Amino acid sequence: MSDDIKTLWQNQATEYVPMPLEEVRKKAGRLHSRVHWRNIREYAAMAVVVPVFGFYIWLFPAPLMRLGSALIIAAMFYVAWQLHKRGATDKLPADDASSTWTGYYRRELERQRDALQRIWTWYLGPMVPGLVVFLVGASLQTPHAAQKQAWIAGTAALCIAVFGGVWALNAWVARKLQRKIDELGG
Amino acid sequence: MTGANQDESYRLAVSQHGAALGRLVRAYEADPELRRDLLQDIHVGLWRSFAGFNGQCSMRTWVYRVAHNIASSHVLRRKRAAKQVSLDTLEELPDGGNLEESTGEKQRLAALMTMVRTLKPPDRQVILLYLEDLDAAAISDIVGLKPGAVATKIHRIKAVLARRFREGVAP
Repeated sequence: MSDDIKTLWQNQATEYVPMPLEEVRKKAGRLHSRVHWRNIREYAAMAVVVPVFGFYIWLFPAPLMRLGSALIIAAMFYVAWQLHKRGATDKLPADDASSTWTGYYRRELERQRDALQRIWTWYLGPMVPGLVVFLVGASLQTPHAAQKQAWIAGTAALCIAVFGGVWALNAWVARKLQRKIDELGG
Repeated sequence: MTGANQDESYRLAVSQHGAALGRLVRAYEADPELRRDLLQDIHVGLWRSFAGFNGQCSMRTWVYRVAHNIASSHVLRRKRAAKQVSLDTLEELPDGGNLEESTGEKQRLAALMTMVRTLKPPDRQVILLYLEDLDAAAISDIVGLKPGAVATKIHRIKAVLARRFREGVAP
């Protein structure tokens, strides 16, 4: 019976068409440009945020708002460096694919889990000082005390909700990845 | 490895294992368009990988490792993948009728394919390599599980296949 099933499996018709070597080489080159575009997408947030806050440094006279803007720009460079350092930006999907599956799969899952678990240290956390300084600077520009308090409370609540939401979502995905790692055993 | 050797190893690998790669991608991806892309990714990955191949394992082991790893990464990236189960769960699920007696070869193959696609990556790899007629030692070398664990999985696979296709378990 096992042999019957194996025969059934091995004799199935597939759409398999041999791929000429030239085409393989061409696609390998395209894969590089795909990774190149993926890298550009990952840095796109930086390309938006840096000019905007660069403009703020020039636009706003308040020193705290200028300092906050500069800190946010510095944080964006730090995040970009972290993305690069973590290897997510310069590796092709097939790299390191010749190790045993368990080792390969475990490393992939652990890399993703670690990045998500430590998102405060390399993504969210570096943004906080700049945002806080910028918002405090902006609130000081508001002339009325009541408006100032409302402004601070509103923006702080919004930041906590956004950052907290991002953190909670990432922590949830990291726990799912950990369960998959646990299933691999030993 | 030199460029010429890399090309030659790739050609040899494809001539010997190309058809198996075609079956492998069918078990990993149901959508024909995505399946074609996956197969191309595997070919490109295989060619690239031969730059680092120095006979540290057999060519068959190398080819299956690269192919399964790329296919597993593909499954991992699919956000809306169907729910996957382990062999343990599969053993407990109802088998859906006597496929051996009531259906033709095409339907039996379709039923087998559906069953394979529901399995989680490690179990799916073991069953695919088993269906390609590799022994427990070779499967262990590719997947990275201990030979005893592979043997246990193969035993379960045989039981599930026997129950679903209504015949005795092969020794």
